[in-house]
Amino acid sequence: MAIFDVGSLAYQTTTCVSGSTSTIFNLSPGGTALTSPRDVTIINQGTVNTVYVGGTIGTQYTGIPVGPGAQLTLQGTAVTLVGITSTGTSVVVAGLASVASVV
Amino acid sequence: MAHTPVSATIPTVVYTPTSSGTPHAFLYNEGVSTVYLGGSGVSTQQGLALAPNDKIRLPYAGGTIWAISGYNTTSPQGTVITATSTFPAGTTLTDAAGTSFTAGMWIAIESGTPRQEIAQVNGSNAGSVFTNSALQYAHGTATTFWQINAVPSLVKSSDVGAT
Repeated sequence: MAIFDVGSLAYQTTTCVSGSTSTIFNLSPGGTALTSPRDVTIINQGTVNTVYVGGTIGTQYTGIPVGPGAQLTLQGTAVTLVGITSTGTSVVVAGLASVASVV
Repeated sequence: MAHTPVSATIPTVVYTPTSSGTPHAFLYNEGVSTVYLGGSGVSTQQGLALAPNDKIRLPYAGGTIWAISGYNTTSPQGTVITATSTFPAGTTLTDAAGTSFTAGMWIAIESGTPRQEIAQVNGSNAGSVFTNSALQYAHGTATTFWQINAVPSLVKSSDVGAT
């Protein structure tokens, strides 16, 4: 599913690295809490490295692998998502995937 | 289509990519409690939380996905007297009331922290609790562990395969 509003506060761009997790979907971007956010898509815009996606903390052994160019959509209650690579870096974008979301 | 029971104690494979074509996954939590999705080492602290009736879609899903469900802590509770060593951290937790824990019980150590882990009790004596398998993390003096009651769930994997 595509990210439908790239101008929204919910649209977030993150560079994931190895060794430590980065928050790729923050429920309070810039300190402003999203209101009842639902349906989140993340896209690994990198061309080389897989990003491993998980909850509040994670490692490459505990995350869902999202390959370069691939995406993951969570349909339902949005949660904080973090990402980590096993090597190198990769840019990940995240945002709302449907108009069911309210920001 | 597969319906996979998910437990709180051992991560369960809920999706395996096909070896040809473009593997894709659609996972739906059809159970009554939240499941946590991730890699082989997934835990309730580290997995992607999927609430009941929620779904995730991966149009390209090249890796195996595991799931684990949540749990409630209950008595007995133990407190580590002597810190365990670093990985592999052995199978012994020193505790003043070790005999409260009996073989077969499942316990959560340092629940809610990055070092949270689930283990099964193999036996105990007055000063120690022994686990079936080596612990993954070092647990310091005064950290706690509890018996747990699993809150199982169910994950449906549909629309799975190669296109």
